[in-house]
Amino acid sequence: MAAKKKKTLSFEEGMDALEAMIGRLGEAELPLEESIALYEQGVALCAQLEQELAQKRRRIEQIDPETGEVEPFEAS
Amino acid sequence: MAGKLTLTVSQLNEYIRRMFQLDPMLSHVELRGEISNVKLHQTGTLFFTLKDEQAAISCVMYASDAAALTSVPFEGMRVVVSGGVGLYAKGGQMQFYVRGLRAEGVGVLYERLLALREKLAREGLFDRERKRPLPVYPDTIGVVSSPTGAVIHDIIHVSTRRDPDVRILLCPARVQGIGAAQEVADAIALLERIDSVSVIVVARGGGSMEDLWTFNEERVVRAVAGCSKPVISAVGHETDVTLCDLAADFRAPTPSAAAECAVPVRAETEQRLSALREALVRSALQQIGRKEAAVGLMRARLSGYSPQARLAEAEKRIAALRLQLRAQMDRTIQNRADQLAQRRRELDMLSPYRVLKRGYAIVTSGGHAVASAAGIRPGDPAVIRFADGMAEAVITSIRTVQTAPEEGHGGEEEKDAFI
Repeated sequence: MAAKKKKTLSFEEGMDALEAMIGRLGEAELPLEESIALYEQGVALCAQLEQELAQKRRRIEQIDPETGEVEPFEAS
Repeated sequence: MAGKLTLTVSQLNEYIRRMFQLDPMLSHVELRGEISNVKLHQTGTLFFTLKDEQAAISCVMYASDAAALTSVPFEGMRVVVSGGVGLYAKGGQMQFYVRGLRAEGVGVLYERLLALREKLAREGLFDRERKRPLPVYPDTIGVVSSPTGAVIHDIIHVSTRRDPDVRILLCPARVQGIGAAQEVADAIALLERIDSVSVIVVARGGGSMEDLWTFNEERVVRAVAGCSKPVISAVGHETDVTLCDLAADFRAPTPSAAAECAVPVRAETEQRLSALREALVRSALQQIGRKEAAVGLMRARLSGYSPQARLAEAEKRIAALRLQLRAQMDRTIQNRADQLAQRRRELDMLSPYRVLKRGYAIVTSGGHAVASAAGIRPGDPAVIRFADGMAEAVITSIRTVQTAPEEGHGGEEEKDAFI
């Protein structure tokens, strides 16, 4: 299995980033432009995470230790 | 007993081999000794030397028999092996063919376990500071376990119950016996290299201390401790603590518990996400509300400096000053009026006409008041003024009188003038 290039946030990182944004947005001295930008980023991230969650499908697989091939796993 | 028999080497070795085989004692015997020179062949056949203080014998344990072992016997391990003596015909060496092997005496494994534990602890492999937190929202759950049996079944069952869309990637490995440690270590390393795997569960069902031995082997412990991803160990029952458990980031008492730890409940994740969305909107609105309030405050402050406000302020002051001025004027006029009335009263008191009312009269002649007898002569016309009118007269005679010095009132003189 080729190592996937990590260009997007993982779900976990996304959730962390979202929480950080909300925390930042709660700061009183945040400039307006920044808060608008943060809000827009946050909404986009929300949508991305929701979509990710909605598109997640059950996948039970096993990897062959010799060949590294991945195939569905059926418990016997 | 005829002449000497001449044999080939093969024939001799074969003959001796059969002799060993036919001897009931030699083919079924238990041998006590200490292990050294352990070699595990690729095929799974195990070679080692068994020795005591005086002697040694080469031992072979075929893969089919060695598979039953919980682990590779180690240097210096005192064991009792069962099997039979044979001849390796090709090289002419006598060997002991081991069919069974057990540690001699209680506590041998345990002592080894303690020694290894001590060594790895000194290296810091079990340190609390090394433990990494488990991911809250893992992508794929990597599992190292036997592909058959209750363990993987339980893990899949519990995981699916928590998240119907869970992703599990199993890397199958033997979890006991010779070679199992290598397989488990390799499996951990393989799953570690796969990006989507967020956490690795190493699981095995319960068993005896020997059954669980794989998870006390150094290479497994090192693989777990060195893994760049968090590892959950669920080996044996809760009461069996293996070194793998100690090295893992989290120890679960059972495979099911490991799944509980590794897999977040999907509904909760969804709730959390929607709560975050709400919080995002709320804090953005609050932020804008704060800005609006700040702008309002500025506007209020700024409008205090506007021309209209200053004009209105000036008008208000003017009106107030006007009122003050008027009041002041009124007071001044009143004062003047009061003063005037006072003067008038004072003047009235001094008015000569007041005197007339009391019966006095004023004599004028030629338009001038005559205050003295010396001021007039007989024959002069005079006007006598009374309070209620006047009379015209002509002076007939003049007579002067001496006035008392203490009585300086001219009036008496005038009065006298007419008597």
